[in-house]
Amino acid sequence: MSKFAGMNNTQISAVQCAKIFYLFALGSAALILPSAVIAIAKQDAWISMLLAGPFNYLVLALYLSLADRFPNMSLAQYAEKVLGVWAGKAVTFTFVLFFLLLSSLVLRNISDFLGLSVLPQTPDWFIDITFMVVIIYGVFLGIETIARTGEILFAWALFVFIIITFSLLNQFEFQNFEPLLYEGIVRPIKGVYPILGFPIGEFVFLTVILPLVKKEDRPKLRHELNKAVILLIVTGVLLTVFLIGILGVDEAARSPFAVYDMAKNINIEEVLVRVEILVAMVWIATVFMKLVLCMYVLSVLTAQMLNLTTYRPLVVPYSFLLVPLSMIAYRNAAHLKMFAMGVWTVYSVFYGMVLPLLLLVIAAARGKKDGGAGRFPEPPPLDKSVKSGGSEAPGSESLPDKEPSST
Amino acid sequence: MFGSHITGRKKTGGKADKRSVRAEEHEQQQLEGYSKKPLSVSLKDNQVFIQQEMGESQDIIFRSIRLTDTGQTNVLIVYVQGMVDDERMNKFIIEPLHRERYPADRELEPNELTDKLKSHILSIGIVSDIKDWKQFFQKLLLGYSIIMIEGTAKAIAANVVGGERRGIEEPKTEMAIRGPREGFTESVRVNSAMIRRKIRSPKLWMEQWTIGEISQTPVCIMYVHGLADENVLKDLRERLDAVKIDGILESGYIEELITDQKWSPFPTIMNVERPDAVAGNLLEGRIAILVDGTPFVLIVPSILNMFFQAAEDYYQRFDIATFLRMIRFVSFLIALLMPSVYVAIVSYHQEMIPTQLLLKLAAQREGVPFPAYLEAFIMEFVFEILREAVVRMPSAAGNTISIVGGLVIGQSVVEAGIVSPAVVIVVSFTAIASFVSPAYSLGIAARLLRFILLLAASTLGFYGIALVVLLLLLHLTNIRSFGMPYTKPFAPLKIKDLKDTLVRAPLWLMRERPQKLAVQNPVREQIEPEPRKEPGQ
Repeated sequence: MSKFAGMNNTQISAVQCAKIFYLFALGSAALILPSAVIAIAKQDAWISMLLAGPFNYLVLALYLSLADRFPNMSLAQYAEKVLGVWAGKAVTFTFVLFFLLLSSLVLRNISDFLGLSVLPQTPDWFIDITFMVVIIYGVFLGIETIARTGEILFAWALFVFIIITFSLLNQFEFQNFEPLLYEGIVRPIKGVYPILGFPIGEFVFLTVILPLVKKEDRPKLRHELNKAVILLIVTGVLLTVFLIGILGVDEAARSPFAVYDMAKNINIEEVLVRVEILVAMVWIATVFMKLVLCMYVLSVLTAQMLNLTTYRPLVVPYSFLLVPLSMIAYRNAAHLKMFAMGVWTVYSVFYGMVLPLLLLVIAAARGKKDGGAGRFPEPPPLDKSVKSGGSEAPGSESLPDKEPSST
Repeated sequence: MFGSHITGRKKTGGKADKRSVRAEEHEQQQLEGYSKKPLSVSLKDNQVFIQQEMGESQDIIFRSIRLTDTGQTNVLIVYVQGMVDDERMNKFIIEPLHRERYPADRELEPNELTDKLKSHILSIGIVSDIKDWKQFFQKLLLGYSIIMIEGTAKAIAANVVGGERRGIEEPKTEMAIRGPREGFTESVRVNSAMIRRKIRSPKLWMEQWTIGEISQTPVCIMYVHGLADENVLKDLRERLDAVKIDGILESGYIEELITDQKWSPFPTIMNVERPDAVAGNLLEGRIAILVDGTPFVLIVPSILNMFFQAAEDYYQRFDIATFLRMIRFVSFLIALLMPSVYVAIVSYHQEMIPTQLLLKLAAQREGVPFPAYLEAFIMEFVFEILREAVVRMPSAAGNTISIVGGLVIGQSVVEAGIVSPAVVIVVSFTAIASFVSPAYSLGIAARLLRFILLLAASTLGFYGIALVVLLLLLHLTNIRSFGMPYTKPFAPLKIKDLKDTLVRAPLWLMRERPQKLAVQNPVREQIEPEPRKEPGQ
């Protein structure tokens, strides 16, 4: 079923959706974001992480209420319903550009990280291309496979986080948190600013994933996503607390990949030393999930904008676009810092919050509500199992593959 | 060779292929021609026809018996020498017929005689009528003995199937310390009976196919009705119907032709040699495919987790079984990853090694002319060659191989300073770990993937390993066996089903059958749901 399925008849469960959301949110942010927040909020950065928590809920509530209005449609589809076909397509196109840039930045993150810390002599383009091979394969296999892979990576990521937390406990220094709120509450509030764009604004990818959740799982969805958000806040706060507690404010703020540097401190009886490569593996996994989802969303949005029956032909061309784009996205770390601090939050918040909010307001004002499936071209006659609406297909996991077996 | 040609692929290939297609079409026509062609009333004509069709093969025995004095009512018995049980044949077919003698005035009509033969002359359990040549040849070549009567176009097939076959022995590939000692044999009937002896329920159903255009191999599926998923059954029937091949010589043919995943090193159909393992799987709602001529029975749908389960796990205490399961999982990971992790650490991430160990390793590697990855490649390759040699060679040469392999290659390669001892340790440990997997088919996948991982580790270090592992994860989560996700119950996560995966929960806790397998009837029948509490506690 999954092999020839079009883009809208694959299904994931609510728990899977929550897990890939969590992995996406950790994505590239877990390694880079804490230093940025610590640079602004110093030892109170963990309060910023806490303060950013409610925003997660706000954006999720926004996407969920859009999903309530248009349960079987992705952003590209309801944008056309709400704004009219051409205006909707224009808005979708800007979202496509947003995800294109986001994907290339994520790819740049991973190649920066690997190039700087793990494989200093390997050229960037080689890392980019090898990584993209895995991404292309993942996007080709579709959201069901991505979600299942996410489940396994989720368990692996939690496992490694717990191991690292425990093995660092002995080096924790509470003095690093003093003085608490030295300059009042303003500094932690300022620290929230980068978090809003990265990763919260990027959560807009959910608008494409939510319609793929099984119909019978929809009532659970809000609950599961809320759990994921709580876990996310806990992870974020814990990461920041450990960074400050172990590296201290100065080092944590200066280090480009703070969590990685923190893992370098692990030393258990001189036997288990320098296991930062474990962190790198987790990070490769979460960045992989983020990039795979970005690429998927990018391809699906484009396919829906162009009324294609499947997104798959777009994946390889987009990768050819992504690799060069990631190499020219910014020049160096200083440029990145300027871009991430100054531009990205505004850009990301506009797409992650303002535009969806506008869509919701206009939809509410015009009383648009549509339970139907998005407008899709008829599927090719070759595959009879493709139906026009995602949730109308029965639980796909129980369906055996319909391929002819021997000939 | 048999199996070299599959009818579905007519478009491919050059002249030779076309010729064999034509030959097969001819064969097909002939077989279909048989079905239309009825037997002749004349015994002489029939005998001539059989001899002509079978090229006057000497192992086809014609035995004619005269029942009347006038010699008008003759009976002809046809069988294949060696495929029938001679003793039963003499005692229950030829002897009774010899005793029947009809004087000239009391001759029977041929049809009457047929009925009489069936009703009280032949002392054989299974007798059936034969009306055309297709049935005739099918029964004859299964080892039936066929009785033809002069003057009627009907014949009788009597089941005296026998001849020398291997007896029931201990399974060679799945040893168990505790558990039944019997393994399947090459006969599909003996095998199905062994399963029936384990599950004495009328709900154990069987369906039969004859697959192989030329080999005409009996293939059975067995399942517990009401437990097995009807969708899977329907799918399996369709796939078996679609199999078109010259011959089925082993269940591996069926496995390859009906599998979901044509391009995967991982087995999506499990093969089992133990009746108790098959019975256990049937009780969980899976389906067994029995193929005549091989002791390996296929189980569908098969998911990754099943390849780590041994039948023995359920015969031991659950805590011990759990411990053994964990060992198996860890060993699989070691067999898959250890050489590549070693290469990655030694060539890219030396900082991970504790200082003392690093010094030791560096001292060992001093003077070794090859880089670590080349060493590992060479030793892995040597090991694979050794392993293959040991499987194929006559057992008399076994000692020689172990001396040459163990002493010469292991020791002298190190002493000569060509390979560092650490690599030898890693490779031999990997080898031992790869034998832990109870399923050979999964172990062989790990062997193959080890080399890919080694290549990735030697070019990109841990990053390469991470990439290949991600690819593998994507692949594993993508593939299905008869519609069932291969990585169930890990992904999609089914918490209830985790009781029989890495851990083996106590039997009294496993009150539910695996989800999505036994859809119709999810709860296991339990006599004693929980351990009985002593009164007064």
